[in-house]
Amino acid sequence: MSSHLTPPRLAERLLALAVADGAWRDSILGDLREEYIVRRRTQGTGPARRWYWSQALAIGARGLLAHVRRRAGSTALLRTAEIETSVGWRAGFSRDFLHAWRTLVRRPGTSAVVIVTLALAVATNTTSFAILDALVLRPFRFPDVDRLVIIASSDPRQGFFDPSIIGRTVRLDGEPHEVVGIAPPGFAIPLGAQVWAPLAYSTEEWNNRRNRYLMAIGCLSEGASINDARAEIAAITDRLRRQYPETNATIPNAVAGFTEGMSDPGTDVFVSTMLVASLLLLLIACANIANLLLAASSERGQEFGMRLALGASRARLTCQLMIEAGLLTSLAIVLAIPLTWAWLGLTRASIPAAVIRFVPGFHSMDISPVVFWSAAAFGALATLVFALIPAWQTVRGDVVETLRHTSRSTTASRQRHWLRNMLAASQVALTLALLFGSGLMLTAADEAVDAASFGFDKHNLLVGRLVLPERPYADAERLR
Amino acid sequence: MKTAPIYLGEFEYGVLLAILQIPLPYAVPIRALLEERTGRPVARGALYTALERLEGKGCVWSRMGDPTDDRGGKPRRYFTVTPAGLRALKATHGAFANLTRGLEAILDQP
Repeated sequence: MSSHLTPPRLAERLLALAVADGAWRDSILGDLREEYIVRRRTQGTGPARRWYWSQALAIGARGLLAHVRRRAGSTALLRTAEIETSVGWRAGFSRDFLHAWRTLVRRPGTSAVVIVTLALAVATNTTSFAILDALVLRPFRFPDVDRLVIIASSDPRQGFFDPSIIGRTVRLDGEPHEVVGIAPPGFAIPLGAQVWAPLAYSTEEWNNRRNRYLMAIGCLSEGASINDARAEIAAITDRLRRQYPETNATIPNAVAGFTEGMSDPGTDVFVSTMLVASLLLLLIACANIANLLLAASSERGQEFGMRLALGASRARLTCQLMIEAGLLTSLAIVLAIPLTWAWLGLTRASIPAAVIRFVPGFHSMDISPVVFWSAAAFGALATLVFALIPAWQTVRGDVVETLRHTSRSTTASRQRHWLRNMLAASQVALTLALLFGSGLMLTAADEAVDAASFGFDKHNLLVGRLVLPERPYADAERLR
Repeated sequence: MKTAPIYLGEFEYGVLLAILQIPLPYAVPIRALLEERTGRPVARGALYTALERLEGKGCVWSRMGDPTDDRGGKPRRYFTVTPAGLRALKATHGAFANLTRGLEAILDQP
């Protein structure tokens, strides 16, 4: 049967939510469906569906308004100032809020586990993304970095920062150099560079076509693309290949964007894997929270049944559960902020300063508000959805049934069991995926530094690198 | 003992009259009759609100019919005017009649 034979399901659901009284809800939905069928026959499906939407929204809005007015005071005072309505809402909300708070405090174990789980997941995601952003996405943060290209062939906070140094002479490698300017903070190209001096080659060095250690950095002119640069360099390389086939035949013509060219190969894969792992962790956390909330809410079937029997509306109970979920999420977010700071601090502290100098973007590692709030919103959504599903199951059922059956044999609890089993299964599956992933990553890391790949025994070996000034150690004899 | 009079609004007055006109009155034919006889559009939401209010005042009572397939298994809600509703209707009708007395020359003009 085509779905268009029946009214728009979403509109029906919305209307059902808006009309608090169950008996009225059923008769109104029935009336509208009866008219929908007549309209579909006489006017066609499209107009009938549009008509249904407009009616559902209009009646729903009126239903909500009537509900608010009833809560605000007696029906005789229907047209009192709007402020009274809002006071009614506020009073209701603060009561619900207090009740939610008491509920959370009454089961401190569950609440604490939900809050800590969510906070850990949010903090892990924010930290991973902060690292990805700093090391892979935007390692170099200075103006026009998009227009810089690399053609293949210092930390300034360390004492050179006095502006009066400009014009003075300093000795580098024993040679006097005049200081002509100071680079902006964060400008460390190549990585770890602290001082830049012009190339001073001898004629012999200039004519040596076998020196290939230099890498040129250029700025694209206004309006030029990286492909234009590639074409131009290819033309030059071709010409040189023809001109000097002996030395230039094998020289590749490679032009890369600045960020791409300067990045460490492998960093992107490594950090992206870490991000995927933390996303998995967030999913596991959500499944965990969902399970906990489901378990907690099945214990509350009695409470909801009782409140329904005493005249509480379904909308009110739903609202109550939403407030509880919101409260849990807010507390988790408050906890996640210091956790993220702590983890970023740990990451920073785990790498020695001498190495950090060579890691592009390490200093710009920071909490990104967008990611923090996205992770928080994701967690909030999970908490809300999984607080609402069991609530909906309880609240939608018949009051008498809810009160009578608290045993496991009812349909509602069978459905709930199914949901819980599904959640538990997905939790285990995700955890296994994460475990395997972590295992593979560790194995790969271990293999990368394994002795076998180097061809020697790495134990009890110390590696050091000594850079000697060029002039005093010009000949090979002295270097030895 | 005389009970306190129930005041009816113009729309409620119309709704009670429509209920009396229809053999098996529920919201759909009530609204159709109101539109047909008054020549004015009637919002469904307004009708449901009025019916709920009339029930609250004790002017009508309602019973649920059997669920039917063409209504997606939802029952109809049938309304009946209560004796109190009838009294309120007569009082309002009388009040209007009193007010219009002597104005026939103006009101009956085409």
